[in-house]
Amino acid sequence: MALTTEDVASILEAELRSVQDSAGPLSGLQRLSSGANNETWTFDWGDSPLILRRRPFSVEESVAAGAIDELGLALGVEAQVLRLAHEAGVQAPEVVVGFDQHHALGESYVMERLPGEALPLRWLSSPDYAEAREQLAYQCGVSLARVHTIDTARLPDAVSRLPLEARFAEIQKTLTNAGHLSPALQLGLNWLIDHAPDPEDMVLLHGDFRTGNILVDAQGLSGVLDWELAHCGYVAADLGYLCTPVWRFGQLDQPVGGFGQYADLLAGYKSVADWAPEISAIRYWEIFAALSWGLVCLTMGRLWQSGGDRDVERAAVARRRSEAELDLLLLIEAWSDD
Amino acid sequence: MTEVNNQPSGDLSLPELLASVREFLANDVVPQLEGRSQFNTRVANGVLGTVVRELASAEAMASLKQVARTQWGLAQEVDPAHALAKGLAERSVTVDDALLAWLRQYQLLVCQVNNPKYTSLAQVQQRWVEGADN
Repeated sequence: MALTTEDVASILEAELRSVQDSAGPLSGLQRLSSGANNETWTFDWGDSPLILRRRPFSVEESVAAGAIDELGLALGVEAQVLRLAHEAGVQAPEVVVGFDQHHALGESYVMERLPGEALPLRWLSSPDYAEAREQLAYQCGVSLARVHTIDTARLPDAVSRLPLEARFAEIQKTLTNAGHLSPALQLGLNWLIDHAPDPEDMVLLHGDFRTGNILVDAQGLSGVLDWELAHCGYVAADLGYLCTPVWRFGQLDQPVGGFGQYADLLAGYKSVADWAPEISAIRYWEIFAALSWGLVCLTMGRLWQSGGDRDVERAAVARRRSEAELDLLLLIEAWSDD
Repeated sequence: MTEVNNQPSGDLSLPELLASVREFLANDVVPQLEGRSQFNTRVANGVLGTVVRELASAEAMASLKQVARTQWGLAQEVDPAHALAKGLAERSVTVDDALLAWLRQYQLLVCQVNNPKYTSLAQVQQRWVEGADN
């Protein structure tokens, strides 16, 4: 449902008056430009800096219309995962209030707005963040290890626990439904199936832990955002995701998110978990993450074509599939060279 | 030898028309907007850039697809990318040097159209193009 800024402000104001101790007022409401699946709005409630996350259309309708196979967690489930992560010591924002899809705002929740810079172009190469970047790979290792300690029995049922084989089958279904349009994505999937790791225990994965979805301040990592792709899987998947080329934002010589080295990431992970995955496992999941980016782009394109969301950003992201396709060929070639 | 006439003909091509729209968006519209509208206008301008590059690469893409049709014996109306993807899904297409070589050229061209600033392109240029020349 399309809501104007004024609509969102007036609905939010009424809701927050009923759940917050302070009386507001609500000010500075503005939609941020980032976010492909959900809208993110920033605003202040009195002195409290807050964020609203809302889905601008009904997930059920889009799935039923065949436009998409999935779009990550429902925002209500995402909010529950955020609460567990916050409790586990991850720098995840605290959730203030959540609304279901029948609410005037649609499926949405309000959370605290953590300090720090999210836009990679602002912190990834600026000298102002040089010291922060030195700590960051280690801190990301620590943070991911904490996410992985969360008891999976406490997770909402909607958090996927699909075995790897079933995930491969789902990806194949997506590629088939899209009309077999990408030989590179298909080559990537075949390779991942043929080189799949042996089964291991599954942990909660953030699923989208990368440069662009973390907040960075002068001390390094200050926030972990965008939990909509959280699911259960193998430990190295989250680490490989952070290291895949597309999320290095041009700094290819810094494998960890464009800012750090593998050794620091693994040292941070080990400081919490007492062990860390092998680099070869991380590299497998870098290839998986490249394929995942291609699938996200594909989904954005199908969503735009279905009329579910005609945002021009979705159309633009759809064409970024070629980044994933190129990376898949490069990464598989590099694996074979070693 | 005929002298080359560098004077403007006044007959605007499609890329020139698109360039006029792109300049208008960048110079006149974007500075007057802010927030989401400004961001989306920049994105829209970028999308028009993709259209310009796709028009410019149409001939190269057509000939690359023709190479694939010959190589894999595909009918003229078949899109080789789709046919190869389907063949790979069914495991009926062999992943050999010929396939990888064609796929590299194809993805290189596609990425140059969609995101010519993507960093991996420079790496690809070094490995697949300059490396192949040596």
